[in-house]
Amino acid sequence: MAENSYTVEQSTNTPLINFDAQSGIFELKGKSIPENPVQYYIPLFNWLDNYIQNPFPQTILNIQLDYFNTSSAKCIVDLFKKLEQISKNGKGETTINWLYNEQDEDMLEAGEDYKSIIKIPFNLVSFIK
Amino acid sequence: MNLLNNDIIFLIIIALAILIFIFYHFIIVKNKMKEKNEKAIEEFQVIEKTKIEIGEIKNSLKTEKENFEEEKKKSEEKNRKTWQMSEAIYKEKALIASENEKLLKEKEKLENEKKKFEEKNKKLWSQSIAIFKEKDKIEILKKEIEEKHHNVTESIRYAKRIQKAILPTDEFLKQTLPNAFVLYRPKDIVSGDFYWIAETENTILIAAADCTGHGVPGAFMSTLCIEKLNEAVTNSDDVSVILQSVNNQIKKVLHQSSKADSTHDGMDVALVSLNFNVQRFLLENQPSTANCQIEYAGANRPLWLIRKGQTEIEEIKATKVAIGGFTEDEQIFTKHKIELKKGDTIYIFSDGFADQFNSDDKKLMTRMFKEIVLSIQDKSMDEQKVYLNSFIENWKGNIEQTDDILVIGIRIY
Repeated sequence: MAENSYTVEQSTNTPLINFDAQSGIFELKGKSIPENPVQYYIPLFNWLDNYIQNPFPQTILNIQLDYFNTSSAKCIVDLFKKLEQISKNGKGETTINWLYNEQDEDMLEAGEDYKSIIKIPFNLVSFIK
Repeated sequence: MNLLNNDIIFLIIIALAILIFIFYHFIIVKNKMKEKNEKAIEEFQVIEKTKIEIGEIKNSLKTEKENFEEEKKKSEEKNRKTWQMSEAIYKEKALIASENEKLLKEKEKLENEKKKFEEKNKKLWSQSIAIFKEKDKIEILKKEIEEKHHNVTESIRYAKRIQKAILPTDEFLKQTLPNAFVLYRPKDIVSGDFYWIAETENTILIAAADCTGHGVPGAFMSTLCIEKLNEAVTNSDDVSVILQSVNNQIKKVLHQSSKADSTHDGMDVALVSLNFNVQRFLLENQPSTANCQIEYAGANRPLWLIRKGQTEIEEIKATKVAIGGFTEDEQIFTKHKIELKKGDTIYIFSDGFADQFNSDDKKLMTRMFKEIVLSIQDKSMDEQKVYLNSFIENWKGNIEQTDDILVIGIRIY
């Protein structure tokens, strides 16, 4: 069984991460511009590797990024791919909600790009800031 | 007759004798009385005198008594006042006594605290000595770090010289593209964004590129990508072919495969070629009504076109993959041919301008970037550069630059 939750406070360059294994609700919010994104996301991915072994029946990721650098973009794909694994293994349902500022066509476009390559329900949800 | 006379005479003599006796007595008595009387008078007088004296004494006694009474009253009054005063004083004294007690207790407390403080002080002192020693250590470490930082910074500054040498010179830029601007604002000393210009027999090629990362890793990537562009252009001046070739070459050099541990580094880029005729317009400043053609291919970076007098931006979308990383070798980067007329303006750029945050943590966003670019179409290209630079400077305020910034604008003459 995975640890109950994985939480990292938001900072200037890194997002809020709040993944709760008990409710299956995952939240990622803010900016993702760490100098070394690959290194930065390793602990989260390790936690996820455990979680996908024994996930909550329904996992929902609410991801709301204002900005991420090109190196983080790949890490975000890796995150989605890990969630995809849950469905692939038949261990549960997974949904990704991509929240974007309705003014921010760049984030909408990024969401559309991800949606096109991810094979689990992927909702583009706009909000007014 | 004789006899009778004798008797009578005798009688008379006896009467006379009695009379004289009586008289005599009377006088004596009277005298004695008088004497007595006088004595009595005298005594009376003495008594009267004494009486008067007594009265006087009485009077004086009375006055004295009165005086005494008055004195007594006064003294009583005085006494009363004195008593009142002494009562007040007593109370005051009691108060002072209790105050004193309090003060004493306070003093005791203070002394205790003083002791504690002294103990604390002692501790603090020993701690501060420890801290002082630590501080010394930290100072030394700080100096070391500063020195290292200085060395690293100097090293990067030197690297910047190399990067600058690799980038097209301002002279070359002015000579090849006289009616254009390049706004180039690295986030750090060296940049992951770069611009690239190449002349072939028939075309001028211009690229605005954004390598993964910024700073040193970005600069590594940009050096590699520039070199691959230089190589590719020796074989072809076709924008699509060049991008495909650079994609293959970068993947090869970085040993990128579909393996999970391979890096995904690469670049996003917008590449434009201007044909010879356009070049002539640009170079010789010859007014022309003839249409001219440019070609564009992009990897995640679009091209914006504003036709002369128009109030909208035409966006030519890029192929939605990056150069390098997981992009397939066979990936085609779609080529777009665009007819341009004199006065039309094109823009290629990295995402740095639109992604800049301000002090309220608000991102500028592409929508506003478009509005800004549209609003400066009455300005010359040089003026546009100045405007965009000061705009982003103001927008950024005191916060750090989010990413490298690169904007290239070219107006057809």
